[in-house]
Amino acid sequence: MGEKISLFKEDGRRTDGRAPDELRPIKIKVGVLSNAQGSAYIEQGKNKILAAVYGPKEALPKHISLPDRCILRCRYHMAPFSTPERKSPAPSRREIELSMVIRNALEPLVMTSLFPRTVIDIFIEVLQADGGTRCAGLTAAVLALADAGIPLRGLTAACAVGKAEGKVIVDLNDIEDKYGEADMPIAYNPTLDGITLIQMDGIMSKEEIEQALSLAITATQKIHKMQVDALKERFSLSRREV
Amino acid sequence: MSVTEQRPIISKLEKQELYRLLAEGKRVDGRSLFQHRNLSVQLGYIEKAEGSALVELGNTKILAAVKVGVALPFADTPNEGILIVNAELVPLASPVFEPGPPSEESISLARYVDRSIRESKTVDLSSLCIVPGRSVYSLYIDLYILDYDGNLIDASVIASVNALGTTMLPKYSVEGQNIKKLDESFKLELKDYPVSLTYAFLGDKYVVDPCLNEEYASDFTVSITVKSDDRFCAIQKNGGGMLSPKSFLDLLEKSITLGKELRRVAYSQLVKND
Amino acid sequence: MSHGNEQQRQRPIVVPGEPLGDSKFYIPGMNTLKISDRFFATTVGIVRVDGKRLDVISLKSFYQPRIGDLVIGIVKEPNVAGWTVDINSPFLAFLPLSEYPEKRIRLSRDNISRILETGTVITGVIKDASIFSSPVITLKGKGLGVVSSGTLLNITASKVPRLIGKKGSMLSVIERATGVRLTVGQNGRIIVHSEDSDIIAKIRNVIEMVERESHIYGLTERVEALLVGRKS
Repeated sequence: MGEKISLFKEDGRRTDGRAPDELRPIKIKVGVLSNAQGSAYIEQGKNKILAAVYGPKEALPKHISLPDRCILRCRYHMAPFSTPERKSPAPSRREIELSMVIRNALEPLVMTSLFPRTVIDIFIEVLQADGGTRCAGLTAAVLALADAGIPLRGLTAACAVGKAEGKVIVDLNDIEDKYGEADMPIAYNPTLDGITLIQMDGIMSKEEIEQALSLAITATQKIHKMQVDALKERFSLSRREV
Repeated sequence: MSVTEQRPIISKLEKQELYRLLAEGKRVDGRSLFQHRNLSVQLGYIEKAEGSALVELGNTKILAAVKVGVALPFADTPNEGILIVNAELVPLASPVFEPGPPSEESISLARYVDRSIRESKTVDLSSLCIVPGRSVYSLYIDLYILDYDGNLIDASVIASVNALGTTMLPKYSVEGQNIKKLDESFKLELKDYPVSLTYAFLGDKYVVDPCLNEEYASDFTVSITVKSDDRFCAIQKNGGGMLSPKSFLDLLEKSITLGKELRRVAYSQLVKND
Repeated sequence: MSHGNEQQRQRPIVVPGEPLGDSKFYIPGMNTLKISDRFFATTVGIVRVDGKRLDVISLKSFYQPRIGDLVIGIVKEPNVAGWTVDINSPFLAFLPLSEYPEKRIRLSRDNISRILETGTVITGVIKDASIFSSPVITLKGKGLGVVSSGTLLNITASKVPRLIGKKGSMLSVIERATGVRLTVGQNGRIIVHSEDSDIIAKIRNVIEMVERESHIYGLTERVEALLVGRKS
């Protein structure tokens, strides 16, 4: 069977020393790539993720375009060296599903009817993965869209909540994701009070989900504040050019 | 890359009718908001497969078949059997299904059904070990969508669990390093009977078990899988749009009640046969 | 960090989702989203108050063609009845045969690609700009046509008004200080009518400063200081 991994220390803290409702350290920088119209980089714990946006641009071939709105093309991809075992560069079924789930979370955010017959390409590259990559990737993608000057219905922040050894926890790292009892990534838009991404796998009771949802909203509001600060910092004079 | 879909166009009149009826608590096919379509299950439809079931939910028809084999276990689970779910959106099922490599819809469907079965521990994979570290049973569940009239997820979960419930595993004898297939077989034991409930959101209303037009007209859907003990093992929002936290919590509550009734109907033949 | 803080006073930046006000007191303008009584910014930008109207001027945006805009385009490829032109916008523009100033050349489908080759720089005016079809440009007009010499520079489209200045004040400062004429397209492209590398370098610096500091007060003075103070 293998030794049982304990996800909590004796003092109730998690394997990385955090309290159950504590986020990992997050660093965000907006406007990091010179070619993309918009870009952002996020570090959350050991996650290192880059997001870039190209567009809006003419949608070609014409048959993919829609006459009354802009279409979104989204690619979530993990670099081969992002995980302990080398990951094949070819898109896995998981990456295909996550590309879809992330695009669905961005669709209601972008004011697509302002750019008919165009396309916006969104790329999320996970350079190093440590649990919660779809959430961190989405958080960065939203900033890349804002950086590109694309009109948005507010911002959206994402965070995974879940359960480990019976306790509800926030921002699962890789070990907690693998050995915990449930993982529930959530993306939330505080301006419109709406959830745009929600998935769950594991086992949770209704009460546990309620508790986790409440923690998720608090966590995403904290991350949202970091997004706002990062955007303002990007365009202020005091930032040194690197 | 995931690209915004080109949905078939629903005429304005059809959409208006849908919303008009919804405002009165009714649906186009006469159902109430939280009523399922007719469900029929035929067990053992494909005799050459080790397990199978044909499910019809309204006009949606899905065939699930289980093929059993023997394989090397995965390195990190040397004593566990292998479960793999695959879904095929067969082109004859709908004008929008095209032949070719698996689309994101088919992959997403297969992965959700997989999570519903795996996380609920419907099959105890550790009971499928033949020789630890060397030989384990592999269960391939193939979902074959034959007719698409909305709500592939719920019908697929029901089809898969029923197919697993009819699965006969060949017995193997272990002789040193070798295994020998015997003539006997034994029934795969199910540990749980999960059902999924899919809701389509149209404006501020939501309905369970959407038919095709409701699905196309909807802003998004939410699928929730609930186990026999009323706990949840899989949840997924599909499509764009925004879900309010309050509606989400209401859905959880509804799913427990609707789940009990759906489970009774969907798995009645399995329980009888046990 | 000695920047002379009074001069560096910044207008506050708003981000998407930031509440701007109540629609009972203000009228929501550009780049805003109204939800029941309140409205919010939809892009990163600076708030501009114009009487009762609140606009958000995006700090970064792409060019949206408007009828009458002077644009500098790059010919992309010949088409059945004209040319597709890149105007630095999400929408590719179309220059119909009928809008090419004829000059005794018989235009036919065969010689379209020879008249305007791919990569040719042109100055035109937007004649038609509905979002449901490609914007149309015309080369018929004074000062419009092919640009065969000079240097092409770029600036974010939303900064063009700042580069031109109130009644062309900033542009006059630049042209006076460098002795060189500039053609500024509303689509963020600039032709400097000179190939002198020192002058080009000075103008590049000015453009960078406008890009960076467009939302900080006293920009025109700083640009003047930059141009006058700098020797080659």
